[in-house]
Amino acid sequence: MPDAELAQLELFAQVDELARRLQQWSEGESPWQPLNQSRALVRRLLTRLETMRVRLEAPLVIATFGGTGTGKSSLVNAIVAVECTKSGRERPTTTCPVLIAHSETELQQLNLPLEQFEVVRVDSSVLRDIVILDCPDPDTSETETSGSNLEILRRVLPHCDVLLYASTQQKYRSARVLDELDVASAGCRLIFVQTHADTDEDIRDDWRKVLGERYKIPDVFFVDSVTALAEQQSGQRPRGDFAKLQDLLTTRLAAVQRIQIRRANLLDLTSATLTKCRKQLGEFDPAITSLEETLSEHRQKLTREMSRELKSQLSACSHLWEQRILTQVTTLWGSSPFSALLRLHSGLGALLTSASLYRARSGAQLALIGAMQGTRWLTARQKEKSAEGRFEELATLGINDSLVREARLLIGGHLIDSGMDPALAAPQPGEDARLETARFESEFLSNAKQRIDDAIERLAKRNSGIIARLWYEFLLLLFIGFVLFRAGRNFFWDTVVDPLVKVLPMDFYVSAGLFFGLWSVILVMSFCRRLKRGLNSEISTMADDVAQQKLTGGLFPDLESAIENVHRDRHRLEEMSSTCHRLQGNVATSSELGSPRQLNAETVVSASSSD
Amino acid sequence: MPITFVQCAQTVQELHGLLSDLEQQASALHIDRLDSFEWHQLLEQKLLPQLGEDAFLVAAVVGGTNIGKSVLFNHLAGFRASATSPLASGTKHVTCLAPDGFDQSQNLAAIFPDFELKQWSDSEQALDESETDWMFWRENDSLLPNLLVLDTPDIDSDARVNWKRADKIRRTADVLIAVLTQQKYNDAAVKEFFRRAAAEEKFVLVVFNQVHLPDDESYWPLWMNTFCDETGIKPQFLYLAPHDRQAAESNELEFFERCWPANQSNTNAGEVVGQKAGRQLREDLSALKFGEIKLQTLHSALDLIAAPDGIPGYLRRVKERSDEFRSASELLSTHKLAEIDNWPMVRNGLIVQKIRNWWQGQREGWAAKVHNFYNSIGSGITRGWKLVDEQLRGPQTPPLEAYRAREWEAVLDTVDEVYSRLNWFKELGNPLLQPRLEALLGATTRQELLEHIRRKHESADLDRQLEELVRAELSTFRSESPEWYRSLRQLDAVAAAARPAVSIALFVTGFGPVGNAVGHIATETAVTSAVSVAGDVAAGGVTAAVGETWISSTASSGAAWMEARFRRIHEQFIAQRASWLAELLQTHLLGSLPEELAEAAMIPESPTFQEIQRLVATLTVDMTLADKANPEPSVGAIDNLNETPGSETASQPT
Repeated sequence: MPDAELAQLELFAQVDELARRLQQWSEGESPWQPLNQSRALVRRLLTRLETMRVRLEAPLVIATFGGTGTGKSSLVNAIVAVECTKSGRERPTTTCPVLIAHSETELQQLNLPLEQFEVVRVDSSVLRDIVILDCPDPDTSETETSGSNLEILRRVLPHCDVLLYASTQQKYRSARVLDELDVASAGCRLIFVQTHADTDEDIRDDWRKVLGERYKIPDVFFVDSVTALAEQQSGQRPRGDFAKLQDLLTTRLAAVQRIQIRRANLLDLTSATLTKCRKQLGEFDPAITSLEETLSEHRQKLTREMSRELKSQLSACSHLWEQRILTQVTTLWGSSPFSALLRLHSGLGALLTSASLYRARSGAQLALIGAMQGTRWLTARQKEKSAEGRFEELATLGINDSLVREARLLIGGHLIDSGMDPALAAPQPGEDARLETARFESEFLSNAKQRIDDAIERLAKRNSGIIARLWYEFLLLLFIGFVLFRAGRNFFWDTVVDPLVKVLPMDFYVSAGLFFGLWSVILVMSFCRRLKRGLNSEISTMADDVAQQKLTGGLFPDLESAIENVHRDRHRLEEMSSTCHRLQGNVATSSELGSPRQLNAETVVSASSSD
Repeated sequence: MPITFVQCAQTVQELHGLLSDLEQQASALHIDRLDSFEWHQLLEQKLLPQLGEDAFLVAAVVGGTNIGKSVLFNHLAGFRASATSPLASGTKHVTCLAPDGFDQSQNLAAIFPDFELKQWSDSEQALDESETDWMFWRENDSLLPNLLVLDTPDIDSDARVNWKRADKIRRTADVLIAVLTQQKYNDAAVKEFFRRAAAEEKFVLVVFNQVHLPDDESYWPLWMNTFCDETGIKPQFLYLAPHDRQAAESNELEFFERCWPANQSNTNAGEVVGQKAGRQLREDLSALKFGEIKLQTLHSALDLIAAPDGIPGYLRRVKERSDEFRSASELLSTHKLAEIDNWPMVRNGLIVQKIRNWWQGQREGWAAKVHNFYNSIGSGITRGWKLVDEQLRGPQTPPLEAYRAREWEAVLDTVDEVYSRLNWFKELGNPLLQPRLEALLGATTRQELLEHIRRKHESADLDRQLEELVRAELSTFRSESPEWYRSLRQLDAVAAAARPAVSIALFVTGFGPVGNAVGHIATETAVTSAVSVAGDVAAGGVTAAVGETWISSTASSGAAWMEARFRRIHEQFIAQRASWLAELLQTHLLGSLPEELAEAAMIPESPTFQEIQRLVATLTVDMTLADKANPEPSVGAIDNLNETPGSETASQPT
């Protein structure tokens, strides 16, 4: 297979792939209204593309187009050199479209509404690769009523591949015809012909000027159909512009060009539709951006508020910290005299803690008390709250939910601005707004919990180094040693050496015990103080860290996933659009055919709607 | 000019003024501008300048682009007055030929109010691309006095400004010289233009240009038939012009008159009536019965503005629109904007505190001293209790601030509800309210409103408000009840019981029953907060000072009465706060919307509207009178320009 052909096939495969992606993109329902509109537009485009695809290999359909009396039928007769469609001097002459085809052309594969046409078979060599459709005019009907020429024309034109646009000196600036051309040229190649060369002056340059802005005009033919027909019937070869026109029709629209022309038409339509969609959706970009900004702003506000609250609460309950760190230290140290003392202290503390659990005001304190007990308690409490219905404050972190509700109010406004479904910011059915806050908060706290554990471990390690430990052990043992020394010296030496000296009385032990108690309390307290060294800075860095963290769930999970989808769909649209532009550049059609420069999508759709 | 027309001139002038007044008043209704109505343009361009003036005839050459209008015009002028070009849409501006001295007797600018007049200097002027509607005029001695001949831009090219200029001339004109060709006689744009001309009963001459004679001799009657059937035009004269570019360029084109309708006098439609030379066309024009034609076109213009789709149609539209506004206004005012049934209440203790403060101010002399002594003991105990409590439960927010926070929640509740209600209004799909409501529901408005309310809410001096309320309440209470001080002591017992449930509704127009406390249900009594504990302790101090005799002396009915009093303070305070919110919402959310709606709904009752209605009625009556006085003017019957059928009008029996 030659390379060029292979490249060609590859190109066509890419076009098909694009159509498939379009199909995929256009499916589904989005909570974003503008997207749905764009999708509807694409779906309508797809139905039109489908009819184009079906007849991809069939002969090209050339339709005449132009104001009444511009000699469309005469031109057709001249082209096929047979008087096959009625031309006349009464306006309008043609009201029923006439389909002129070679007798060997199979009309079925064209997928045309044949019952609406008058079919004429002409065995002309021109018709080897094409069929010609002589259409009624667009400018005698004032409105598009059923059965009017305009209505018939609009029904027929979407089936055509190439428009043969005929005009005259009188009509080339006729507003109605130009307006209609806008619609008709959607997805078509164009051939421009000025007729009535026998009587009219050559206005092709001015015509080119009129059309140049909206259409690519490679060539304008200036023909005299009547003479051309007469000449051909008398056996002469056509001359001048008419010969060129005939040549264009036979060579440039030959079978090999068909697929290419149709692909190019298809890409034109697609590109116009995608541009329209991009424009449609692009209008909402600022609204979507500000929606996202508001969303993240409120998320930050809430996180900030919570971490502030977390900080103040965590620093408020120092005894809880002490407890946790002590426990940590005793586990680290294993058994030793001072450690035993600490354990005793923390055992008493645990008793207090379990009592304080009933008093713990906040989730933050709970997080501090410990994960296990805390979570159980928190869930129980949340359940209780949702059952309770209305309650004044969601007290776990002391954040009241007015922040969330303010956010909801504002985001509701943004949703309306951006065309999103306002229900996205509404609370889940059956879920109280406060519960949502609670959900957000429990996520926040579970983050905090891990950090608290880390912080405790860190503090415990840092503040209970081996030197500190030895020092405290030493101080504790010092007292015990001193007492033992005194008692031992008294018992083993003084009483032996000096009989007058008595064995130390009970009173000594009582006061020793008392001072031991005091001494250990002092030691434990100073140790605890030491343990808490750096606690405040630890708390504030932790609270800041937590505030920085992006919570996965977010305030409005539905909304956030909707926004994500919007971005994805927009991105896919951009991709398809750029693919389409690239392919448009690659599918080159003959430079002798005209085409619209920039289709507007309204015309694409209005044309496809009449399919 | 007939007397009826002179009368009408006055009426029309008044109508014109009143209509622009009405348009201004009704700007809120979003009705199409008056300029966009055909009848109004006719009024401005035809009736205002021409009613009551001496008869002069405006004849204009009209038709599609590039079919030889300017060629024909030059033929009428006798020289190359307007440039011709093989390119379409060449003529962009109007050229006017006026008889010698016309400018002295008549004011051209008044006849063509929508055009900028400029002295003709060059035939190429009319080709100039410019936004201004120019009219190039020159005097021409070969024209009859009282005849203006105009060349116009096309009516069908893609330069739509040309259509507008041609339309303006069409309205002003009395005689239209319609240029048709076989390519264009059945074009939609052409037919549309001439259908309007037919409705205005213009005097029409048809020139069929670019005819291939004699081939087309059998076709032109068919063409004319189609044209006349489609447009309703009844041409008075018909000429054929041959397709001869050379002759056209050198201004030597010949015109052949044909009889129309062909089948009346001639069995053969194609029969040549007479081979008249080109000059004849101009002479035919000069031979027209000017007065008759003028009357006919003025009459029909008057008919058109008084017709059901003229001024009455406009009035109808105004009425319909204002009815829509009325229903929108009703929609807003009959539905509640929000219903609040959980507006928070100030803690009882706080009110008790205020009452006590007030009461302290009432004491005098040694009694005050005694009370102060005991009160300081009471507050000492309270302070101790507070300190203990703070130690146990952490610092507490001041009660009024707590109330403020709860009130903010209620505000949010309300705003939320208002917005969902507005959304509901929007979804009802009232086309008038929809855009307004959409703007209200947008994020910017919400943010602003919320910020505004927050600012106001945070700066509101609740303490003072409560104090003033208590003072006012208690002053009336004191004057009503001489034993007020006794009852006062029951406050604490009452405070526990009094918890009114209050529901509040916001309406758009007025506040509806806003702030009216609805429903009095005493709810749960278990309110023992730190504050109410403090209140109890202080009360103990007071009890000790006054002695215990009063306790036995108070009847239970007194307690109930007191309770009602106490509840009233609650209610009033809440009502005050709620109406504060309502007012804020009213001014900052809805703004002047309700007033605007109501105002727009009242337009049909305005004197302007009524006056226009009356004037149109008189106009119709005048017209019927004129019709009876001068039954169906048949053009060509009367030759006299200044014949006045006024005497007949006067003698008309009513």
